[in-house]
Amino acid sequence: MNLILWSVLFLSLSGLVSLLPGLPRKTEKTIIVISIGAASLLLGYASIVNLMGAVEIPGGVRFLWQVPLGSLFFRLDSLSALFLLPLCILPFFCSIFGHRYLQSHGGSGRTHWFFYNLLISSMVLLLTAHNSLLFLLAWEGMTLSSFFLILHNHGIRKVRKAGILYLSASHIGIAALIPLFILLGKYWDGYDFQIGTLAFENPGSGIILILAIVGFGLKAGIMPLHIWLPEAHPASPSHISALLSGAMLNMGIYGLLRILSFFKTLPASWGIVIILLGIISSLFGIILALIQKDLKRLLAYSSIENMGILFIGIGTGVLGAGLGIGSLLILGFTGAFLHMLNHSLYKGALFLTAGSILQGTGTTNMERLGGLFKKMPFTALAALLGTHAICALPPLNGFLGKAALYLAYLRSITSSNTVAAAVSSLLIFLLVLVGGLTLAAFIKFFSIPFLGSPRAREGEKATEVHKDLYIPALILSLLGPLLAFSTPFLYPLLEKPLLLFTPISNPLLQEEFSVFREMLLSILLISTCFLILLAILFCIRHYRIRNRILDYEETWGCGYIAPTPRMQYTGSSFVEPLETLFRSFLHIKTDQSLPKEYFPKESFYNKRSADPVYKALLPLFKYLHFFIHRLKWVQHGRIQLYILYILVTLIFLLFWIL
Amino acid sequence: MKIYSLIVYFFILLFAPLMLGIINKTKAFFAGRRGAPLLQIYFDIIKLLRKERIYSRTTTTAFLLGPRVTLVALLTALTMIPFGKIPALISFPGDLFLLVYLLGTARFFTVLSAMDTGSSFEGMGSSREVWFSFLAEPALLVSFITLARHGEVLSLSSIYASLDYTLWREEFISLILIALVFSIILLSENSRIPVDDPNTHLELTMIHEVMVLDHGGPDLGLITYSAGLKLALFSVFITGLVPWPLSNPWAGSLIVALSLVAISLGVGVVESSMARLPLRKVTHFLASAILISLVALILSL
Repeated sequence: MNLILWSVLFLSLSGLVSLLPGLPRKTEKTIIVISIGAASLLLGYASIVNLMGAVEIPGGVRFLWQVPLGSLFFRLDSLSALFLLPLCILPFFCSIFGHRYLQSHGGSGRTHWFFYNLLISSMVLLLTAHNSLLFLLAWEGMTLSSFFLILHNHGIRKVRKAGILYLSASHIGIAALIPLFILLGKYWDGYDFQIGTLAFENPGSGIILILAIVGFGLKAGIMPLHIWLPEAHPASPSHISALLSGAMLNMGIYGLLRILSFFKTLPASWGIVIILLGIISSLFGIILALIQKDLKRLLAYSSIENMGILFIGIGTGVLGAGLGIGSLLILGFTGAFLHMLNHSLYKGALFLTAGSILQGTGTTNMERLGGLFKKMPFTALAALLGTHAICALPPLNGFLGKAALYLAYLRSITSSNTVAAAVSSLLIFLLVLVGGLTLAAFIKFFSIPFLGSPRAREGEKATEVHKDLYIPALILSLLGPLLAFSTPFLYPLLEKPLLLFTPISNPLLQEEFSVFREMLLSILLISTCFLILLAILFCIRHYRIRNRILDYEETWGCGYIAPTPRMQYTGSSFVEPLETLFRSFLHIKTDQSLPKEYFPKESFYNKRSADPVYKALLPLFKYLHFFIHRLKWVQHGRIQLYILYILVTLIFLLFWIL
Repeated sequence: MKIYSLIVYFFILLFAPLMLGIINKTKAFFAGRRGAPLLQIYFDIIKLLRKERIYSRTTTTAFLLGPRVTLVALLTALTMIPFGKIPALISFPGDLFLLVYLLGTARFFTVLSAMDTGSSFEGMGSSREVWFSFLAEPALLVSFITLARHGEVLSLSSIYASLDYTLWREEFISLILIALVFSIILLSENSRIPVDDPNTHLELTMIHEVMVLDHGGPDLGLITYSAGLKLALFSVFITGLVPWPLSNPWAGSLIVALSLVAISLGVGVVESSMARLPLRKVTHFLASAILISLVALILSL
């Protein structure tokens, strides 16, 4: 625990150092990267030790703090340790990437790294805070520092708009979290967290769940609370998008899990609610991802889908706890945890490769790219591994989290409970549907920019980026296979976080884990065979083509002799059949003038799509804006009057107490 | 028992391309032709494997991955397939999911190698392949979990082991529906009429075949062989449903062989007697497979 506090202190101090005027850029970079690296090592050590320990370590660290309701109470339990793991990996690689990336993208300079370190330290504090006020403060610190990071290129109007949207969405979230913790405080008679103390039969429990879903769901980008996410991710620098998507969205999930851990037992109905939200997010998130042309927007919508899958996993666990079905409970949470770790890795890698593409070509619009595989081979390799993993295809790691969920459902289907069997089959069906759409979306993500030939000037002039940009992405994507091959041995580390949610008898846990172990080991065996056979095939090819000159010709064009790159399939045309299936609820606007006469003149076809939820919420915000506008006279910017407000409030409070 | 599984495994590896030969022979019979020899596919594969390699200038390493990953995915997937009552080489809880996802891996790399050529025809084929598989995959998996629900077991081998006369008597309708779903998926996944036509000569009308237009020589040989393996794999799903009361593995292998011949004949008859569906209708055809599988599932609950 002390290690963690030291590392937080260290991070914040080095962030402050980077603000020093006149510090050479190189020194600043060294300080930041080394401090984050050292803090990552400390955090990683602390969390691994915590997860490996046999039992939950009781107690924590408490410092004196003269704040009403608050106390400086820190505690690292296994749930915090689990969510710390992505924080030990992502920020370090993102900081290496970011230093090089910002050199050519300019922006507000110095303060960037101050807020970067502040963001990491507030996330670490958030994970270890064991007091409501401390938690809220860390939460707000995380929100504000990430807001400033998103605003890095604030000269651009779109970026400012995205930043404001993010800030207002986050504060709607805070508006739900404050009453949530006040309500919890009423039950606890204090504001320190107490694990496993509340009974869900209490009258206010439903409200607690709703407030938690609104507050934390907003941060995790659960639909329909996601509208800030697809705006903020493309607007921020790529290493920030990677950090937001790979680490900060997890904090929303952590918050929800933390609230669930306060309850002694969990009702099945809560599971159903969480699963429903997860289904909405994953299905609609991936459909919207499918039709995006901008690489980073596509990734942002895919994050919504992945958060949806995490919600489905958590909901499955809660459902299992409510119905007393061990497989759903244990494997549901296990699947969610595994998926969280995997998602952090591959989404981080993919956002970094999107950043490299932006750096190497000057655009993230995939319809202008093509053939980057030849020009940016290392970036392409990282993107290929990340894409493979995110499609949840074996033999990479993305498959394992989903495999745990599938196994949970299969086990409940083959048990006798009809309701659970029906829900489980429905969930398998939906997960496969989502999987098919993910495959389509990410084949588009990889093949349009990297394969074929360049579609426009941006694609032609592409060059491989500096090694500081592709090496972090490559390492993150290579951690995927590593994780895939070590999961069969490491998954028992997930045992302790599971026990936080509901009392599970040890034989039950061991039974489910032994089935899961059998599955993981067999997957490992088959994956190994897969890779060995593939290597053999490539060796045979290598052996047969040595000393031979290979013949290269044009691509077969059906006999047409003058093909141009513009005749290739584009991203939009690739997904057009699937898009047509879901057209009814996608807001697609077309602008066209099609060729008509025998000698066609200039013609064009333009297609735009908008987020249906954003469209639906817009009128609501217009009304809200109308009413809030009336209150604007309170905010006039005159300091004297603001001081008067404070005075009046203080006097009022004084009388309140008297 | 494992040794028999191994024998049957290699038997399938040898026999699979013959199924394509039988289909072609059947089609020739209906068309009143003599047709190519039954073993023509083997000759083709051997010839292709010895031919020179010509690549498109646009292509990269991704182009080479397609045929190889497909072959490897099918070889590893076949280790999880039980042949009727003979259990699979590798069997574990939840192997059906790995099976479906391995086929997904094969598809992922096939599509990537098609997109790698930058040809609009191959782009079109890839787009349609992804579209059809999006509809076929859920139907396949729902059918498997229905079978798992019937047998109350977790792995493919035990699913097929649990299919006996008693189960057929009790769950007749559900099992018949599943056989129907498997047949639809067999036709669609192996790019057969009415979903796709492997023998068409116009690139625009092809779906799966157009994706491998630029592959030649050894790569095409691997693809042709994989096509045979894939057909065998999906056929075994159907033939395994029949409750042969056989415990003798040799007789079992014979039955497997005969039923694979029967499936090939059936595919040949379907191909000779039907026309290809218009593209829009393919969606309906595959969506009906999903619905049928869901009905089977509901009947099993």
